[in-house]
Amino acid sequence: MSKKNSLGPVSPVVDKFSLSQPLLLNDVTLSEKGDLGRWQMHNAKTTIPHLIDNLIATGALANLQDIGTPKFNFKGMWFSDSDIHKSLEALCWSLYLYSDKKQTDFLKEATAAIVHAQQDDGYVNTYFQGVYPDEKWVNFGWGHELYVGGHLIQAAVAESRVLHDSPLLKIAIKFADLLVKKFSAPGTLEMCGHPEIETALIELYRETKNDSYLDLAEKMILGRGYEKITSKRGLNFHPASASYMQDHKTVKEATTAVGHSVRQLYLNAAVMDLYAEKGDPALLKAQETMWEDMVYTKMYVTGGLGSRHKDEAFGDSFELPNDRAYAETCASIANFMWSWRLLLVTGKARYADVMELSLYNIIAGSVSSDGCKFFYSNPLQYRTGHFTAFDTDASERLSWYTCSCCPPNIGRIVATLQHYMASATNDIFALHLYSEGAFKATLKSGAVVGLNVSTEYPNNGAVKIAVTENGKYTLQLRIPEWCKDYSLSVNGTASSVKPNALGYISVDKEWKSGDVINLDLKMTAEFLKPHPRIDAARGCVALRKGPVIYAIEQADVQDKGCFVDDFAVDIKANIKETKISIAGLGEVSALEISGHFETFKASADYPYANPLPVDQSSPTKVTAIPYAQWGNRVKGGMKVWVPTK
Amino acid sequence: MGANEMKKGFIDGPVKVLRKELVKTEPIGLNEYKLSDQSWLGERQVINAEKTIPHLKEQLVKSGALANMQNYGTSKFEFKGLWFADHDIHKSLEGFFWNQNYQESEAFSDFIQVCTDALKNAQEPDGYLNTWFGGVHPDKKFSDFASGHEMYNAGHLIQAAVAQNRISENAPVMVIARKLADLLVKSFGTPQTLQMCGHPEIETALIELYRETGEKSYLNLAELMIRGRGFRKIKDKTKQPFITDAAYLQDHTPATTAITATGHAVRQIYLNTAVVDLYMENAEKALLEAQEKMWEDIVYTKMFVTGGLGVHHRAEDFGDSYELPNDRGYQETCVAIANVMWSWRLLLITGKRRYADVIELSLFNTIAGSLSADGCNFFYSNPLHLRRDHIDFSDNASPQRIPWYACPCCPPNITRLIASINHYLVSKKGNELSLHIYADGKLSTTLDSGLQVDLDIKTKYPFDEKVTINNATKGQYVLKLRIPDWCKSFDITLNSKPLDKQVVVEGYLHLDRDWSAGDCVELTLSMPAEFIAPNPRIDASRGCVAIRLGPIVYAIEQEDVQDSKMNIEDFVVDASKKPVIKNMDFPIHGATKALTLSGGYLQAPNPQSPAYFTHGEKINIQTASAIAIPYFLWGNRGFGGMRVWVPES
Repeated sequence: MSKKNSLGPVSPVVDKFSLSQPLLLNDVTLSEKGDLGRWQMHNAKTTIPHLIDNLIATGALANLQDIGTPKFNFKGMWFSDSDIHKSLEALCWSLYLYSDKKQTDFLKEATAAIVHAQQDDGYVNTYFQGVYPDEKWVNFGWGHELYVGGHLIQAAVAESRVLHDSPLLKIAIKFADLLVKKFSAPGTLEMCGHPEIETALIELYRETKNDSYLDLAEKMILGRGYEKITSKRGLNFHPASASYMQDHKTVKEATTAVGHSVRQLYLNAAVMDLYAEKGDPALLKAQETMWEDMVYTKMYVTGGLGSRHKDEAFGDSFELPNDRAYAETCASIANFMWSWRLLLVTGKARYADVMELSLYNIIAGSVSSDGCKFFYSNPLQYRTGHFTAFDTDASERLSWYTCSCCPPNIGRIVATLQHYMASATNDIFALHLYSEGAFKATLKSGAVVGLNVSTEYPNNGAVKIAVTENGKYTLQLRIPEWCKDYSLSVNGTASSVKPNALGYISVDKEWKSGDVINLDLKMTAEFLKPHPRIDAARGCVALRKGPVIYAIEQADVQDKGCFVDDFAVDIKANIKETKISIAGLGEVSALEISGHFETFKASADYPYANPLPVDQSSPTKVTAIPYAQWGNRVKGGMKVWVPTK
Repeated sequence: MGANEMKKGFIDGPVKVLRKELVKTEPIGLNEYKLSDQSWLGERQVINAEKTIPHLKEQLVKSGALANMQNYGTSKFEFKGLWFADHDIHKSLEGFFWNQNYQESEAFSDFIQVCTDALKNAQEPDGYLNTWFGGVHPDKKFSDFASGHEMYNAGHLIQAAVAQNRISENAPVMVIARKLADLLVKSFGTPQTLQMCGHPEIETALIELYRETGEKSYLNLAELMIRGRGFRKIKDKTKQPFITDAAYLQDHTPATTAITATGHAVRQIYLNTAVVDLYMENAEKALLEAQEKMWEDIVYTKMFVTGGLGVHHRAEDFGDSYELPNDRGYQETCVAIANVMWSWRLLLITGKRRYADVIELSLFNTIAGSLSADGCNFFYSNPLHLRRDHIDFSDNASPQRIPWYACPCCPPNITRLIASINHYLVSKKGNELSLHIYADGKLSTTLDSGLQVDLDIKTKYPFDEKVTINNATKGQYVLKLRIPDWCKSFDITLNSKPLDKQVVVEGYLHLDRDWSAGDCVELTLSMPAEFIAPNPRIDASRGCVAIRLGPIVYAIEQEDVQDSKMNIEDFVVDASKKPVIKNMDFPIHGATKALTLSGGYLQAPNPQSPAYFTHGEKINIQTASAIAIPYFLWGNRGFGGMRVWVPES
């Protein structure tokens, strides 16, 4: 029942404001032999069934099924309807790749529940309908009604794009029409404290071509920045400050990332959506400046974003604690979505660099090898004996959360990864991310692009591209920011072409089926140093090979009788590439580094002293593994930034 | 002054010792050590009386906390503030009472009368007193023990009552508090009916109430509550998400085996105070042993160099061992205050100097810094690093001292501690008198031997290394003088002559002699400016040094930077060069010893890519110096950057 020629999650109507356009979903088939294709398969077979189980077990589904009946007993957080919506979006995209009877049945069951819950006027939100019916559309700062509605719309757009029949789209349109009716007229506009509805409404406009959705989204986006969003919830510790909810500056003036990080990044995705349709240069200028602010001063070396546990917020510039890194999974997913929109508009490789960094480190690490456990926060250091009172601070993968926003978000991003691999213009085909798979697309020029990509990326930078269709077009290949040395050959002939200003090498050619391009992106293991203002990483180095960041873990020093917390690395010694075996993961790339253990003398109790009484062990070697694989062995310490001595 | 007529004779301070055989040393009377206005602590007491207390009075009216009680049960009642706002009144009252010990005034008395009338109005016939539950959710009284804070509030009322009873002839608040305490005994006083409060406080209060009244049922209830903890029994019936973890409420391990600090920091330390109080009544060794271990866990692995405690903003809780971020260190003022109260009890029991060391560190750094020079603005959290672009979303993370908070727990806590600070400086036992923290003032107390000791102490400590003690007593006694942990060398003279024999036992110099009136002891505690380094596991301070002068920890502030191109964030210190002490006329504090540090500032490029360099980039250092000022004075001249831990060049 899947459609052909489906649009992916981001499909602008207007193309003149974007440098390139996304492909159709079926233009790209990721192979299960590659990391990303395999991940999509695992997502369909393990993560999505797990989501379904938990939507039932937590009562989120029952909230919708039982509303209006005596059985109704609201369970979960007040926005728990969004768990259903976001999971349905994931499920629809995934069904496009892997049809599944049980999942199709669940989609029907959940859709029936939403139909049941939806009021005649289109309103649907079981918390307010069932628990606080008098407080509908009152608390915009914290009620999350529009946020929840946004996820419903995104699920509907997904269903409409990939399946032949879309009952969800009818529900979503009814809901969206209610919003248009309520909030579009002058003087009636309200904005949601948690952005999400805006990007959803624009995509709904793209799917239905109903201008009123784009107009309302535009009003909401441009209406922000005047400290108008109020929180009418009485007694609470919730921050009410406008900057927390990005209502302190207009989107044309806002050039630093501030407040709740997922809110900021979902808003940014919407701003770029608006730009793609309307082309106001002030929007793009502010957004590019904010991206630089965020990536250059507020991003962890792993691509993690949002350093504060309290408020789930961005910290100050360079406030990047490793142990208390919140680095919420959803923030990295949102950044992936936002950076993709910037990449489409500008064509700059830096956006793909950050997507890649987020994907192979934070997002990949946020899900367990069995696909059923997830990180909410993604710290860069886990201390021996770590304790926390809250599940979001667990710093270990859990099967579900009190606020379970991350698991379905992982489900939906993984199910759509093929959307983010490549894009095209009239006669250019650009490859942004490399993974084993087949690409087949027809450009606007009429040229047919056919490519088979073979690679062990991100573990190995050798990328072989076999041309499978004849056609004249320019092939653009991204040279990643981390790559200092690469070689390119076309049909065995070395090419010395240099990257263009955007960061891509271009080969313009009358391609013939059977042509072979070999791109070798040399991946050298190297130490990174922090900018001196990153206090939390002072005196330390991080270890990187290609786009993959490495970490040292207690499991690798356990037999030495030492704590990983005490290891100091000798950065003059060679890094040795090796492999180790991890149960559940199989063979994993690893890097062996040299150093010693430095411990505070047991007799010295008070931890501040002059001189400092420390003991040093004799030199030893420690194995580092990819950050994304940490936490799969004995529980114990972990460090990305390792002190040098 | 009628109801508030001051008591004559010996006045107990906040902690009264009943079982003298269980302590190594005992408090002196609160009125036996008069701090002079010359002493820094004495000056704080004056500011407390003249500025802070009038400020609290205003705020209690303005915030609605007083009206909650005054209007309780009437049609005018409209609850204002957080659900435990009653305790703002209780804790302030405690501060007012201790303050009256040396500052009587009619304005205070009138306000105390107003508050007392309000309390009477709010108390129900059965003794219940809590205007939030009583007035807003009467059906939920005594149901949410984890987060309702009803017994926590009651504890503060009891402490206020004890203070009033100790200092004045008449104690109407005591009548109110006992009625409430009796209700608690009746409701929860058996193993079958026992309930515990998620926020400890009632336990230490009940024990002090027992000490004051001799009523055993208060001690019994406190003991039940303390022993009842540790079995994950405290249930949160409001189903507030997030605060359900037993360790957060210290309900995961019994007091006899709890040796690591976890969860909400103030809760942990108030509980600890009660556990040590219980030991002082029942002599159970396991309690004391566990508490001393927990103190080591806290002080050796979870305390900032300024004495600050509690790391996380999220839940005001302790972090892991060595998780001590300078920028995001919460270090709530109330925790440092609670730690003084707890450490003082441990000092009384064990006589170990280390407890006085930590009291001193907390007092002269975190607590001193929490209060503005004008006495009317307060820090809730006390970070060790403020970035210049700092932004936050909650007032309790305010990087500036502000007049009041949504949760104003800290301001009255500061007041009650400062008003009773002379309780925590000196102690005695047998024929020994111990001076723990030196302050200019007159001390007059009677030892167990019957000998009345009169000392006139002259010093600018902690800002000067010299302490002069003029003895006016004739007779034999042992004067014990603390040689602080930070002090590597000292000089001592008696009547200007060096002592031929110096006996230092466990950190105290013993002067055991037959004293003559007019004997003069001069103690000089060498205070060189020094750099100290962190345990390597304290990742947040790696590669940095802190600067200390005696017990005072220093900080550098943007305000002192002359070079317009230098950002305090980029300063690196050359720790091989000695800091140069220079006298500075600090705008608010007056004459202050500042330190000039040699070093430079890094000229790192503005990041044009993710802020991580591959190995090898060169960063220029521009030679520069920086001025360090006492940490407690930071933030008094504007809103720039500040840091305590300074990177080494």
